[in-house]
Amino acid sequence: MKKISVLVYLAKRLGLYAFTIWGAFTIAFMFFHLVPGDPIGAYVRSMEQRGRQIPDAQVLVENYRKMMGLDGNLLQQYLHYLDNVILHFNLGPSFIGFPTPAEKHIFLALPWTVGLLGISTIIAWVLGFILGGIVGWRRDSLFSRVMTNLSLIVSQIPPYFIALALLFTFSYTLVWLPRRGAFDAAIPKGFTWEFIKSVIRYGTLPALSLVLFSMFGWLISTRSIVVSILGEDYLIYARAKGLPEGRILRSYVLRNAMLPQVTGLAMSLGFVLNGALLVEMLFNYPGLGSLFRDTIGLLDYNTVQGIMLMSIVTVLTATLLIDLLLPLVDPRVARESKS
Amino acid sequence: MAGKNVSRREFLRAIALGVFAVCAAGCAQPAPPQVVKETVEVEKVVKETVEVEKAVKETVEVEKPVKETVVVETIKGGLPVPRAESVIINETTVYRIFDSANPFTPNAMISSGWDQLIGARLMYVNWASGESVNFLVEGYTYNKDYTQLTFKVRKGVTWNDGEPFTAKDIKFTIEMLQSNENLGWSSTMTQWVDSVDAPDDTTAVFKLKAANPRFHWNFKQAWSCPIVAEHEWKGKDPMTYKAFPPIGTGPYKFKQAIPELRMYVFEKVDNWWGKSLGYDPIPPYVVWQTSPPPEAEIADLADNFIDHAHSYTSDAKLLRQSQKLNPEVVLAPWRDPCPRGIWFNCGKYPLSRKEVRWAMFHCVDKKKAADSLYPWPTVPADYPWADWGGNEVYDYKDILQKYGASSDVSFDLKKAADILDKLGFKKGGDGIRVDDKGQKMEFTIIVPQVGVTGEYPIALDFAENLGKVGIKATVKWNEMTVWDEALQTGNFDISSHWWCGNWQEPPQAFAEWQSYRIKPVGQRATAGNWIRFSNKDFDPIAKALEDTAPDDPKIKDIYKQAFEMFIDNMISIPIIQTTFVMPFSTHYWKGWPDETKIATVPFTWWPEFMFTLMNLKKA
Repeated sequence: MKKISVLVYLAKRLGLYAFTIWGAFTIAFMFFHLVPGDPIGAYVRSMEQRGRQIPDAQVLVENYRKMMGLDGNLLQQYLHYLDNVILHFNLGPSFIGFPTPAEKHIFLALPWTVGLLGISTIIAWVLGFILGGIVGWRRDSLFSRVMTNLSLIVSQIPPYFIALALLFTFSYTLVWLPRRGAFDAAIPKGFTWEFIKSVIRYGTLPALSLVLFSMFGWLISTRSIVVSILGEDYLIYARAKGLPEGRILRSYVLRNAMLPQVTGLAMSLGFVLNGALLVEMLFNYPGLGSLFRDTIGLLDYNTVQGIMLMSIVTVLTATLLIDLLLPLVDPRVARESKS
Repeated sequence: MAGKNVSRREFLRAIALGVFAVCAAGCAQPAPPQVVKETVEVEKVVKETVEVEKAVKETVEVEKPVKETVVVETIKGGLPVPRAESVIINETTVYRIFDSANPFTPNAMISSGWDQLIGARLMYVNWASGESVNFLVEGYTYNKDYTQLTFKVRKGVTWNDGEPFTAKDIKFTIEMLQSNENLGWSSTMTQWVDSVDAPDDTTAVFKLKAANPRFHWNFKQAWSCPIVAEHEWKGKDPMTYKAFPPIGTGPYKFKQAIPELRMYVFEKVDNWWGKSLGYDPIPPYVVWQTSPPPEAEIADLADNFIDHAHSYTSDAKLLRQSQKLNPEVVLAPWRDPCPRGIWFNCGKYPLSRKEVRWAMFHCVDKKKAADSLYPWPTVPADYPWADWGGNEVYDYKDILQKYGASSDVSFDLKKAADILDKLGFKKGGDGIRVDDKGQKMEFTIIVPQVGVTGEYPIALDFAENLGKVGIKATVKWNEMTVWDEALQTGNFDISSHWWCGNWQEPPQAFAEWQSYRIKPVGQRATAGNWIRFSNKDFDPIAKALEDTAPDDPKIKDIYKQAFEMFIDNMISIPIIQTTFVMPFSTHYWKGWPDETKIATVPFTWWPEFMFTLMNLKKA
């Protein structure tokens, strides 16, 4: 009986997961196709501007629309796209690099975004959570007051502005770190220590700007949770039992504060695939954020939809995983599920 | 063997230590790229006085190579090729294509070095001097009735893989284009070319479907039709073939691309055929890469990390700042062929009335636009073409005077109001004019999103002046694709953008506005008449423009008649000449065009920039 109920729960969750992906993607698809503009027409126009007379531009436009899967009405385009993606795992040709498949552009940018934003998000979360816990725990100390005020200020500064300040200080004034790019072009790409070092060196400043921005955000939210926990009866009981302060902080305070923060982390990791557009632009970092901007500008539907689909799947998968894993982190959730 | 249990705390400590060690190792090295001073040995030739024994001893001057140690500044790191041996060109385009050099399909890596370094064309015009340059061909001739064009292909031209370039490549390219309507240039070749013959390796004969005395311009204009290698393309599907790495006849060949850094590297072709013509580029490597934002790029130029910055080519403040930061930076201001102007949808009432367009013409303050709305000082434009030296022959001051259209007298709000009053557009209670049926004079001025070089402030100023005479105008900044669709389908009122006509023979641009080219609103315009201008008196003049050969003595009169019709009908308003300023660093390379002398095209995105690169010498 217990196994069946777990299976029913899993089936329900997975069904809802698939339905939400479909719904979110359908809305995104319709939304992008409602944006006015004609990418193929703009291309034909650019050919005309460079001196070519195109006697029947309409025919050329129609032919390219067909190749890009943009012929027919919106429903036909939608069904054609779903058929391509679900049955053939094919996002269609990109327009920014016709006829290169859209997935090729996405997979070129993906590792850099995941590497930069994924690692930055985790580092920011770990640091923000620990510091937030300490700041909340010692909320009347000078350190706590300074950190709280500092966090309130820094978390409101956009990451690109932090990036500019870091760039100016560490790259242009002190000349300690490179100005932009993902690695040193003088070092051949490959799984070598030299190359890995170069990637870390080049990723330091963009990562630092993202870490500083989100770390202070995590710090503030963790502090608020910790402060609200401080008045709980079980803490008074723990103190009355004579438990050391460090243990109370670790096992009673931080463990309870962790639950909402882990959910938040999972959501943030899901949003990693959206990229950090302005930071990527500033550092010429080859991530998904700048790919998204370029493809939106050109109305390259296939690539834009590919990025959107990936982003939707990642956010929802992260949420699903958290739903499934939460009972392991918090025994209360497991008990509630059983009851 | 009893293993020691590792506690969770120890495990976490070990991980933290490992992460710290990796990060520290990554950051421990000096941060490349950096300017470093290094001592190098250079060989110099010095003159030395020596004693030689002849019948009597005498002293003579001889040249003798000596080795000398000097300290030079160079950039270390950041590039896959030595900085001192490379020309580094930045472009604002975000490069995304690193595996396709097919010049006939959309968005291949064409403008990022292929056009300028690899894909040499049959002929060029040096637009800076007006001089014609026969490159892959020695010349061309037409038959008497302009139905046949013969190219004499230059002997000794080779592709960069060593194969000879012949007339058969020309024949193959044109026939390939004709066989696939989706390729760029296909429709032009299908419309005009009946057949191409290559009776021998140096002769290509085009038989045309109708007389066309200007057909050769398809192989001579900027971004003219490229010719591809038959031995490379034969048997390939030209729609999907990526032609990569590219084979071309230009002075450089593709070396490598680094997609993550949006960088292409080109290297010089050994024993390039062009040496026989006296062209011999010196830089061993050329790097084309995407610009960072202007604030970062200006610092790169200041440190000579790059030879050309591209993100602020019309921002006077940053350009001058560039020179302040690095005295080795020179500026090369040059006229874009496209003046900025105002376009009307002539098919839409009341803009379909030429008098309304004239009233609006008097609301444009060209002087203000030139002095303060464009980000680099420029001059008002009276003609819809650039004021290049070669265009002085198209000087029609008498017509401008006759119609009161020259820029020194054209801005006159009172005149505008008088015209509108005469037409019966009366001001309503809200101050906006209405016609006799109550239709308000309300318009939207659209500006393309790329219009960062004056179009937007020009539109705002124009709208403000229109408001003063009772015309309500709203300025809307559109994404390029949205703006283009509105223009092409006729769903717009007024647009503020550029006036890119015909560069080689400017009045030819008027030929586009023949009535038969008009399409109904909603359908895409064909071959130019997107403004939907129609005038039965103008049509025969436009047709004569097309049909009369450029060397026919009658053409001058036709040009003049066409210009007069253009002014009389106030089809559009040229406002200012456009200047782009190219900043170049002379630290590693000298010979760049500058404010004192522009002998070749300094615009890095033009194919003709090849000739600028060929003028460079080691600094």
